[in-house]
Amino acid sequence: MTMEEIAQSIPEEKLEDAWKVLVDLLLTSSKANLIPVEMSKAILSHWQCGTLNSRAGVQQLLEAAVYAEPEKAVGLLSAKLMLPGLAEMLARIERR
Amino acid sequence: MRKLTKFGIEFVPQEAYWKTVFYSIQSERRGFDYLWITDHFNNRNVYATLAAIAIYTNRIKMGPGVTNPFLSHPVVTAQAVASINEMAPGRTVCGIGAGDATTLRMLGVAPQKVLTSVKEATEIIRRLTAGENVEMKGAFSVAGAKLNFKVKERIPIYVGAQGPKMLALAGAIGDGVLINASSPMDIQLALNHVRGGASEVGRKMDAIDVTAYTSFSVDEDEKNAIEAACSVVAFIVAGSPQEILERHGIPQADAQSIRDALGRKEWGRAFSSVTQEMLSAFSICGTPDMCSEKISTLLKLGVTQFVAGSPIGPNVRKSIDTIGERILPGLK
Repeated sequence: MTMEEIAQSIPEEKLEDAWKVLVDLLLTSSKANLIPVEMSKAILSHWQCGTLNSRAGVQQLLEAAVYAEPEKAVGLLSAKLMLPGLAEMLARIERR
Repeated sequence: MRKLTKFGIEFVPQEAYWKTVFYSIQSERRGFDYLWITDHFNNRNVYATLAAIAIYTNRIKMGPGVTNPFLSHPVVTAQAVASINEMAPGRTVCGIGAGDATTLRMLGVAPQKVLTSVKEATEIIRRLTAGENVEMKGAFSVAGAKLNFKVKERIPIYVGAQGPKMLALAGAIGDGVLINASSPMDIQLALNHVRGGASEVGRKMDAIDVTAYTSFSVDEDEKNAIEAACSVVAFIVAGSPQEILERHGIPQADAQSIRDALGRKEWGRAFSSVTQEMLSAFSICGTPDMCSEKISTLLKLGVTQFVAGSPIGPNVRKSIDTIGERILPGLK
């Protein structure tokens, strides 16, 4: 499964919570400098355009989260967003 | 003429560049008017940060808050702010002051003739960004310096000040003054010195953007706001001279105990030793309503710009939203 497919699987009503949970994870992470520059630019572009809460925006955040805080990202998907199935998929991507 | 109240926010570029840019985009969207980026050699470079912010924003004004003439020659500062202005035309300002003694000391820099240096640096930056050919022999030697590109807009220069003489100098030469204080008592005292400096050279206070550059922390939960403020206030207390501590009724022994704990890197002990008196003296913190009331008091004293400085809140993103939703609408 790809990150795009994981993002596509997030229910529409969870997108608003998802972007906030993921962006807070990244903003409070001390490992945010591990995120590739192209990815950080994509996040900023979405933020600037007001589309960070879109499916494409959440996908960028998920990809960045796997770089900076993979274990926490998996935990948040499961515990805060109540998406244990997607968390498991994300964990598999992380292990690859 | 009634001045409109302006709101600024300060960021310390100590983490990945994109976080500061993220918060800057958010601050612009939430109605802030000014962004001030701190300048310390051991953090991300202030002008690189401002360049990135300039590209991602459209309205908000921005500048170093504050640079100093001891680490960067004023000619280089003029070049830097002029370049930022090319990316953010008419949105660039420049804050300059004595510099942070701790970080300057790490580099073996012992500032001499501080007032003269800030005064001359201000003149050099102002004249160079106005397109002039500058010759000066004083604290700085400039023998015919001129920028090779034109700065279309005037770049206002704010003088960062805390002591009486620097405050008076700010009143005499600054387009604005960045008063490094949070309590009404300190701001009132500072304003007296700014007025004195302005009056000596025949300037009216209307010409000066009087800015309260505060340590700020807001959260819907008062305890969370206080907890976030304690870390910053502990350092302020530790670095404050006896005279200022006495003014606020803070026992020297309490301050020394915090200094000792910070020296031993016993953060928990240092932060938990911060008292309510210390918080009131050196920060504006609490719920949105509590903060609004405290800001309102400062504005009534004659403050024309309020800056929310570090830590801003326990969760910076949420606190910027809270300020934008709960504080600014009632005060702008």
